[in-house]
Amino acid sequence: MRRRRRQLLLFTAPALAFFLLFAVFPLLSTIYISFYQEDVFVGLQNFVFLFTNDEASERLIYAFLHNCQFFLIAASIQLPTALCMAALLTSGRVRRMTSFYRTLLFIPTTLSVVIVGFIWRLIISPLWGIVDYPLLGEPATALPTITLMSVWQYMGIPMVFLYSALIAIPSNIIEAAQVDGASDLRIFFRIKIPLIAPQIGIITILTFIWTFNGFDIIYALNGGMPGPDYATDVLGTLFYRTFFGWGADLGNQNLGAATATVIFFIILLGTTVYFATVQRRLKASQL
Amino acid sequence: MSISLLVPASLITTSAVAATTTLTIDSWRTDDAKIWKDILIPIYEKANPNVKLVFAPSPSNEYDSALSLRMKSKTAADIVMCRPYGLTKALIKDKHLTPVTGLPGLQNFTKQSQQSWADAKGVPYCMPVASVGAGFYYNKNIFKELKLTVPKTQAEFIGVLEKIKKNGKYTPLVATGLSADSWALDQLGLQLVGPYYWKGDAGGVALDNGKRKVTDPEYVAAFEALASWKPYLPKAFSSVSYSDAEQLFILGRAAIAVDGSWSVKEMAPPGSNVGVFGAPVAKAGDKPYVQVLADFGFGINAASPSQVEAKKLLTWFSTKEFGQALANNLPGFFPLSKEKISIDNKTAQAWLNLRDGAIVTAPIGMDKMNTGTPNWFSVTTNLLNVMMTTKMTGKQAAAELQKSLESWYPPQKKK
Repeated sequence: MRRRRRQLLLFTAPALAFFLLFAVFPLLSTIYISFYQEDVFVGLQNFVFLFTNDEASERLIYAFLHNCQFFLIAASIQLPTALCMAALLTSGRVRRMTSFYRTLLFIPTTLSVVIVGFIWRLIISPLWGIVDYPLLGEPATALPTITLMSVWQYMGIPMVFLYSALIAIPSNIIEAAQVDGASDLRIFFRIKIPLIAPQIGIITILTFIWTFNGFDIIYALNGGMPGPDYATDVLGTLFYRTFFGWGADLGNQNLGAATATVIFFIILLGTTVYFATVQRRLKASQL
Repeated sequence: MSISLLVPASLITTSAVAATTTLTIDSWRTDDAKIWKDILIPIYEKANPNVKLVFAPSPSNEYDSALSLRMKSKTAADIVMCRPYGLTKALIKDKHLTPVTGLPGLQNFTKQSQQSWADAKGVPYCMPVASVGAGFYYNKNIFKELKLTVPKTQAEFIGVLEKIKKNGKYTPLVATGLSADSWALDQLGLQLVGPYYWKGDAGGVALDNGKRKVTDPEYVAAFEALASWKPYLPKAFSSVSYSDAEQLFILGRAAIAVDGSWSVKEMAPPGSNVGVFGAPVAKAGDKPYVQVLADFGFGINAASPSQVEAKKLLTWFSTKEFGQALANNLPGFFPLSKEKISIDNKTAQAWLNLRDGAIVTAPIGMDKMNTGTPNWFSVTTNLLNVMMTTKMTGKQAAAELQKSLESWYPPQKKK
């Protein structure tokens, strides 16, 4: 028994060391420096500033709301679409070239974010592209537009998740249902969906984490002060601007660390609530 | 180097040691690396065979954070390119730069061109090198076709724009409307048309020390002058990026473009028929104001072991020889020195001629009012973008800016 435990420790040690060094340590040191201001311990002062200063708190609240919008749009479009694609690919209706379509649908995920942003900006440009409306220039449409670009790019990931979950369903269950005379639609909703429910839950929570950590496509398109009039500013860009600075602003590492800590706790809270309430009930139906 | 390794140490003469002095120059001008390497550096190395210069630039948007990190870890280059204000002021505060007081050649520059690189007491830390300007490029062929003349007053300017708009074939005026590039509406907008109204540097000082407010008529007039462009801008203006704007003009789809002198090579390539004019004045006969923005200078890393050679190089940057070479090889960048130079590039020379008979001025707000949160630059660029892309008026924009300054800037705080 003891030897077994030592073996377990030995085998997990490299991964554990890596995790401690590159995930736990930076996280703790971020929280640590968020209590300082220019090497002087100031307690919670940075957080008080973030939440009570008129300008800073307004930016923080708007960034948070934009993240919620980003998540809601991404989850409500990405998940159903990815599910449909995966269902179609596994349905047997696509008789030939299934792997070709699967690859095709996954390709955007492998592209660089900068390229995706650049291509889409040209496509929807009123000057050179096909849309006669400044989608990225109007506050009401800018964030949904960027969200859709991101959804388009990362569609492949939930699709592959669901695809592998769907092909893992034993064929004898499906065949039994077919023998019983269930329609394809009924099989899909009554048998397949309940069996992959945990995966759907995991994808939702991963989308939550991705969108609340979202930064790259917004920064690539709109820089560190994402407009118009901060309409596309999310927590990630707010953190970047606070930590590294932007334009004439040289940045404040301690305030930036405080912002990062706030983002960490938002994600932690969201994930905990989700696992405590929803995911526990999403047990795969027992076979 | 390799030879000195083979020779016993005792045989190395002092001159041989001096021959190995290498000075590294850090810069954000990656585009100019070839010109530095092939043209500017060889001129200096030929005259100073004991010095080897290495031009090692980093990308512009990474330069500031990379340089401050390298300064902290003592790995920065011997010579660093100085940004006006912001970063340079922070480096001066942390004692990373050597003061250049008393360096020969510094007297070639006005106090004006030194202030963006000086500490609070006025001690200069960088040798001023290049300046740029903002103004309007116009397509001479379109002007000829529509029988237009170059406008001098605001009324003539609007008249010209109105005529182009009525004709309907061309976009009258292109500027930058995409929020990501909103710096352009400040430097190539408010700071271009404004100095005439707020009387140049005096207007900036009056705001700095709290004697005047942004809501006073002279500043509101500046905002309104910029807002008067609105009816003549390209369609879907809020999505026009800085490079889109340049493209529209280069392709001949727009008659006038507001841009900087640094774009001479792109906006007026050889064979094109492009002219330049400056900011319009309100009353005929008034003296125009011309914005001269100190774009870069050079400073010495205080931790560099080769202070003497570095100072010698900085002195060379102040000479007419270097100024002439810079102006001809990097058209649109002009030496900040008082010495008269002539430029081969026709359009670049036209930019320089704008300064004749005009009052030279620097952008306002970039120094003291940029040191707090929310800083002048972020607030102004955002407000100008909103003003130009929505129904917001100049008066409203000025009021918002004043409100933001009053929230933190001591001289502007409500008493």
